[in-house]
Amino acid sequence: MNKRQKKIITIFSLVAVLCFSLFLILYALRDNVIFFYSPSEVKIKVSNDEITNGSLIRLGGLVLENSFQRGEGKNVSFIITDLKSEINISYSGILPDLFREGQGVIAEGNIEIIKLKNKNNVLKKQLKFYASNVLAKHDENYMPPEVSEALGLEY
Amino acid sequence: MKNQFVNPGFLVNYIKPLTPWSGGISIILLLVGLWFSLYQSPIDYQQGNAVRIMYIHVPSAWMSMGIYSFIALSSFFGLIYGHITAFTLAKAAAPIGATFTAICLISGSAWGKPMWGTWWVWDARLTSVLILFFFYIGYIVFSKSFNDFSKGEKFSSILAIIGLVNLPIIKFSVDYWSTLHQPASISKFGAPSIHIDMLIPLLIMFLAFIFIFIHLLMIRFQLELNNRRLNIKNMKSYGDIK
Repeated sequence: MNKRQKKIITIFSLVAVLCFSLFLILYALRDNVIFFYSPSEVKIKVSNDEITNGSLIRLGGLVLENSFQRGEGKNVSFIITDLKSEINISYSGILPDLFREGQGVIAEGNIEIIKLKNKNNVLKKQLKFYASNVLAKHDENYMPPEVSEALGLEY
Repeated sequence: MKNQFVNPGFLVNYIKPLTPWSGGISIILLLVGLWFSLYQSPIDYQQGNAVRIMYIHVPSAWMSMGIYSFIALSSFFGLIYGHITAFTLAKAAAPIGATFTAICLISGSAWGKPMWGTWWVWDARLTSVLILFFFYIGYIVFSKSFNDFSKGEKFSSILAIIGLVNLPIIKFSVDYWSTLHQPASISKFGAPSIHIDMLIPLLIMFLAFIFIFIHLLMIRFQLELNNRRLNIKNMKSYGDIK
């Protein structure tokens, strides 16, 4: 083996070891690398006690159609859904321009877990989310308004 | 013939007459691209006029990743074959790539404020692009922090190759993890989810950015070569080498 081949092997093994270690790091941190949880994930984590009362989390999903309600002043409430489960959000502040029903949004804030006992004495957890910040996601589709109208998309 | 192009002096003789042409082409392409993207292209059905930031943001993001691959590849060949041309090309490209990354980050931030409602979030895509910017800065600083240029070239080349593992993370961050940043519109399987009237200005801008890169690279290559000659001269005069 000459010097050049040795160099090539050294570089490739360096990159391979790096990739492997990076993969392990990102795999271990996979829960922290994601930016937000979906409502289903939050519900699973609440039932596993991974999310406790008052935890600061980010919750992402679609704004449920016909769920947006305006209260007094800047207070609004709406429901975030991932089409499997839903969580009620209350928020006081300015909403981004892209915020509308059916749009993907991310709410940042504290979750309140209310423990209720029903008639059969079974513990039930009810979730309420107090958002301190709401961000709008936009999707990867770009088109002029005429085209979206022709496709029958709501705008 | 093949080995002649590796000789930096020979390469300079070739690229010197090409620089005015590449400069002219990049100016024309940039003007056409900007006219198309800022004036001629339609507004977006959701984002309105804010979509026009895309024509700067997306090509500079592509450039930032492409130039980094170029630097890493040149560094790799430099390390293996020891060619001055490869090292010098990599060094010449680094500040251009860093600038494109900065443009990408700043324009993305300006786009994020009206659309998402925030200048910056620490999601996987944004953070990994910021890390790419730091790799560029690290490479530039590292390559210039040794008295002996050849030492700096060696260490910074290793850094460039290490940073290469960041590129697939940037590319796939929007698919593997849930991020605020939306997934890819064009470089994906299936048809691009962008209307043709918006795709054409985007591609013209990308072509313009490529020509700007080539133009600046050819100028900076000569500059870095002269820097290198100066370094050797200085080292001789200080008695570091004979």
